[in-house]
Amino acid sequence: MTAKEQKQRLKEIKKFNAKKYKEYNKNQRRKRAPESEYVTKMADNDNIIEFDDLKTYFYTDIGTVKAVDGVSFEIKRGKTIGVVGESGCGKSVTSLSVMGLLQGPTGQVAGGSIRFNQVGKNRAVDLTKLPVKEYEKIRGNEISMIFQEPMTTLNPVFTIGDQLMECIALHNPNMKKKDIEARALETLEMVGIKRDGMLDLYPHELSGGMRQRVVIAMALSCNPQLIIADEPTTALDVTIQAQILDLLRELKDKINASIMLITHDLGVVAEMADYVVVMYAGRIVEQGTADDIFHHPAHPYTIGLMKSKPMLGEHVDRLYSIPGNVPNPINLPEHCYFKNRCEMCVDKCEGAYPELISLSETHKVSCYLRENEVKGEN
Amino acid sequence: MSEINYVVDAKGVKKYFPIKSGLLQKTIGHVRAVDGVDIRIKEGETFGLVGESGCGKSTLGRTLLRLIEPTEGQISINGMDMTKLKREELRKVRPSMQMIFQDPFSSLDPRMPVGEIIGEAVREHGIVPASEYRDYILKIMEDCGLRPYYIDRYPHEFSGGQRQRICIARALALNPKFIVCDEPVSALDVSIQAQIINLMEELQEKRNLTYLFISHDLSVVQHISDTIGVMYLGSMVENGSTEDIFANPLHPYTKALFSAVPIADPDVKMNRILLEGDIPSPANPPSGCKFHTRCSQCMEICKNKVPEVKDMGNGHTVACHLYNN
Repeated sequence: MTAKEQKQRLKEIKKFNAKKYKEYNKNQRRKRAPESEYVTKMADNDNIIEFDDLKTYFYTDIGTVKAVDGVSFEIKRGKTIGVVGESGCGKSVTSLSVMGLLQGPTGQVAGGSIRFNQVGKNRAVDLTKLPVKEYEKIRGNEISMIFQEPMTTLNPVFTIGDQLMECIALHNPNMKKKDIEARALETLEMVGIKRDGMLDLYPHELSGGMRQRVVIAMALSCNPQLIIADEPTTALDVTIQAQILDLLRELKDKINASIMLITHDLGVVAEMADYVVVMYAGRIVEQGTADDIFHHPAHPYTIGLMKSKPMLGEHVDRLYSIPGNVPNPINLPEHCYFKNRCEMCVDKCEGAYPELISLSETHKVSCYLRENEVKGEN
Repeated sequence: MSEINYVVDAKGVKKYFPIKSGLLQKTIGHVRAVDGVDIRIKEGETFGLVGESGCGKSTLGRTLLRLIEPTEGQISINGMDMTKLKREELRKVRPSMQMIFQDPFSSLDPRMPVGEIIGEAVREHGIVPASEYRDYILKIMEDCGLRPYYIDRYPHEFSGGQRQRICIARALALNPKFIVCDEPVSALDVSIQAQIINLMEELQEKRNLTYLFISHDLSVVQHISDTIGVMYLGSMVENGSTEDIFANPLHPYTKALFSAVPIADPDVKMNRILLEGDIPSPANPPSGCKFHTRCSQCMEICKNKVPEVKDMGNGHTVACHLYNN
């Protein structure tokens, strides 16, 4: 590409982005939106959340990054779903899209919908179309999030009591101060760190494991229906990780919530999740129950991921490694994104991106290799 | 027994960091990061050092290379007494001992091209004559799986895995015998992790390298190490061959640590030993056995008396009162 062409291309991108930004800002400025615009129906009332062809794009100066490109899955009430993938595969962006925390106007939901079941209100809303005022009522109340790094999640200049009570006070404006404090102590008890004077401590006075417990307490303080845990134990040691995972499992049953667990650690997923979604370069390559994924992995990427992790108690001379790197998210190819790293390629892989096909009622995979298996079964 | 060649032989290594406070910066106490550790590594072996964060494993690695001055103890590497070397002498022996750091994003100078990153020390130490310099760098890069045209590129153009390859190339360029690898794969994705581990194993075979492999990921340590040391709060609690330690962990802490590792199989329900609470502060460690505050098999003696290191046969040592008899 000559310098002139390059310049021309960048100019086009800029123009395109400006248009997208303008649309976004216009939408953001609207104070009110009619209910009919965002209230929808769930496909299945048993689900707490349904992702339907979600597309989240980032309009950057060097091109559009399709961080999440047509992702569909659902989470059943009271179940845990694990989203696995390498860094940059779009798993965190999916969760940020749910929370409406995308860094706009660069990052925005470009298509599809996220239907959230408001069980208490007996209705469902489309989070992608929800106006900001409505969003504030849901965020931290019905959906809450646990982030990876507990030190950066907590504000170092406020006591943990302040931070815990802020969330409760915000979502229960009529609550008395005394009751709020009682509720804060109650949540601390739930996560197992209630002590005298605990509310007056600052985050730096706590250890990493305790900080993560405070973050979990904050997330649970309003009895959410859906907890999004984005790598909740990655920054912690294995012994502390075991404590936190145990705690999450216990609490989920206690308040009957669903968990969307985002992680790159297959071990954590195997232990926690009922359903597993495997993502690669912004798309779902395989999804199914934990049993499907761990005992009958179908996509070459899933198989490679499992093989490349050394297992305790097993000895291999050489680790299997998936060759190459994750593709550049700008200008992704037409064919299967995994093609260049795949060792089981067939001629058909040159063609269009493979559709998700069902291997069983729960197990879906997007790979041409498995097409025959479906036909064989029918 | 024939004579075994130990590349690293250290006894009673201690590193205390002073805690200073007040206007006059008086020392009011010490953080006992490494508190009397013996470590021996055979030539061509990999010694895996595991433990929770804050247990002093990184400090030990750095102290061995004298990147930080030890407070006490003897360290000998390649038969040289490291603690007695003067500055200029230390500089001369540095090429034979190198380090690979955890974060490949912060350990590479963003303003230097790859060739210069790898080659700077080669030139400084005069490893090869100036005429062969470029060919030498290219050869090292090839060994580490880097393409020749990367030589003039800058670190930001590379992915995490490739950057870690650059870090490895930088360490290898000096023909070291001993490399301290401080969590070299922790910052990488699983599929890239496997590539880097394989590369490190290949290089070890080719060049007869000795590694001190520091990691908190037990499955990785098990895969790569010949010998394993488990550290807790500045002390080595258990030490032995990888097979011995994994097949028959003796110290209660080692058992708890191993049982905490999640297994990638939903059918396996672990018999988990959950440790209560957090690791105590190394500035004020518990009396007696340091682990007694969290130990499920704690006895009266554990609270008062520091357990001695006992050899349970085959070089498997453990420091615990449970094995007194």
